[in-house]
Amino acid sequence: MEDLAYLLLTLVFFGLSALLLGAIDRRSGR
Amino acid sequence: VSETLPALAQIALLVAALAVSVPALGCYLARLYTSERHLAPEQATYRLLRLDADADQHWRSYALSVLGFSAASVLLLFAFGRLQQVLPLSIGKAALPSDGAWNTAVSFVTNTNWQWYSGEVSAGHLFQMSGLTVQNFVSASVGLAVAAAFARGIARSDADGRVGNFWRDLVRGVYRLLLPAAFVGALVFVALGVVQNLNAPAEVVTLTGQSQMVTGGPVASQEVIKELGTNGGGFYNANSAHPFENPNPLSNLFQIYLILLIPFAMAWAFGHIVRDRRQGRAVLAVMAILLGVAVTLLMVSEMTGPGSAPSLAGGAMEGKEVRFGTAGSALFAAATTGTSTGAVNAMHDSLTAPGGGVAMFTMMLGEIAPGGVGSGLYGMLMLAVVTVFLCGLMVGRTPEYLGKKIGQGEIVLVALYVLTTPILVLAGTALALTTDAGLAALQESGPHGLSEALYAVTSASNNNGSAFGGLTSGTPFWNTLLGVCMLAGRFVPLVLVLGLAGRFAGQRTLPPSAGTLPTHTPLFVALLSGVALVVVGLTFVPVLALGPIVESLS
Repeated sequence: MEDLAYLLLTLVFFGLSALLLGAIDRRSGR
Repeated sequence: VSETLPALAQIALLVAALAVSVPALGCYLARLYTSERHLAPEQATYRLLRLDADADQHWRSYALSVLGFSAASVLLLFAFGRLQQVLPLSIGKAALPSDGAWNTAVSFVTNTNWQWYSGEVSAGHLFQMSGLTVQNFVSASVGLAVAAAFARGIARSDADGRVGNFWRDLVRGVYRLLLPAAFVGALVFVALGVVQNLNAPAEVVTLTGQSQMVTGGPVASQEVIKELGTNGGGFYNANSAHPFENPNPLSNLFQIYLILLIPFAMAWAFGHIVRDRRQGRAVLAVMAILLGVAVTLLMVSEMTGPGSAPSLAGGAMEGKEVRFGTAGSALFAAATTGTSTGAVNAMHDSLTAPGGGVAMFTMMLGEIAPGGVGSGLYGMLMLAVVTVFLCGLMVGRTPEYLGKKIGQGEIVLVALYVLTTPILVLAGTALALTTDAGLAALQESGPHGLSEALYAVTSASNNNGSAFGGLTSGTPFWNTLLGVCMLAGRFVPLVLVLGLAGRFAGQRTLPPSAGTLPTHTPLFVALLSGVALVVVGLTFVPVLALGPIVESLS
């Protein structure tokens, strides 16, 4: 169970980083 | 015997060795990250992994490659730690707990190498070699790749946001730089007396008749990349204070040299990549000035430590190895916190209050003096953009850096970059000091206890990895808190840097005009040094006042 929590935490963090990347890219595209 | 002469001799030897090797390595690095030619082993790797190393990636693809590679690395290393007991060469070591395995995985992938565990107690040989040491190579290469992409982004004109190829940079960094240098360096370490074997722990009887287990292992091969890649994770818990890792003053000086070599050389390489060597020399000069100030302050505070015991002993010797003395320890402490290394050859908890404050402040600078491999260069360049923007506005000059305009979009990215780490450090420390789980791990109360928590969160958020000591960090709370700080401290700035690289690469390079602020002059070197100190000072002086400053006044 704890393993799953840390797995999720990792995926959520990298997912948020990808969202940040997307936001910067959209802003740059304007 | 006075330590002043040996201290000055060590510094002179170090400066001479760096002065000879940095320019040559810098030229080599510039070619490495701009050449179109692939070597045969690289081509074989690209074919095996089905990588397109000739594609010129948009910054978005480049950043996604970095994130994808790093996420996969964290998950793989996490699984490695959880399963090490069933793997070969585990030498009887059990699986790491979930929080500990995750913290360790994040720590090595982010080039931090914060270690909550004792290597000789918890980590088997295969985990050390195939898990941790491999990450020491590739996490360093990721940092170098991002710095190279940033430099290329500045150097290019009208490139539609394209900054190079991540896979090519990653593989070249490992194959052409880190592996050959580590091979030679490991042999030097073995010659200097560092241990290298695959033996299980040996039982020995001590002089008092007690039984003691002595752990050997592949120490020299891990030691060299630990320093060369500014990683810092030691084979032993005592890190570079352990005689098997760092047996004598010569090996100590060689370790400091390895720590500083690539970060300085990357600044030199930057000048070549942007086709204006003066720019690289200016960046290098700022790095050297800031490091010089840190070395001086740390040496003076440790060699003349306050109180009667230090004056009788000729220096603040508590927590230091006699074979290195105060000078060898202070020089190492400045190098390891000025870069993102985090290796230690002395107990930083035992540094004098001002000395501990300097070590913390050097990390808080964002590790730009000279910083981690790659991360030092891009950290300094982000501050250079801030300097150009601030000073340009003050004197009515156009805000531009090397022909690239600093508009609203660019300065927003830089501002976010500058704010990320301080937010992590201050919010993380506040969280630790306001929760029972955080406070329970502190050894001391009062200002020194605050310093213990502040140092740990600062070290993690800046991807340094050195430990102050006194903090029992191997708890689920601290492993998770520091893990989040390490991840956010590495990858949020990295995405922002690549975003800025893409914006620069998309711009046409403007020729210098009468309104351009020169960025290669001694004046700019002074301005950039000042901006670094002021920005960090304004952010962190209040919390430093509550910790090391009030402690040194009491």
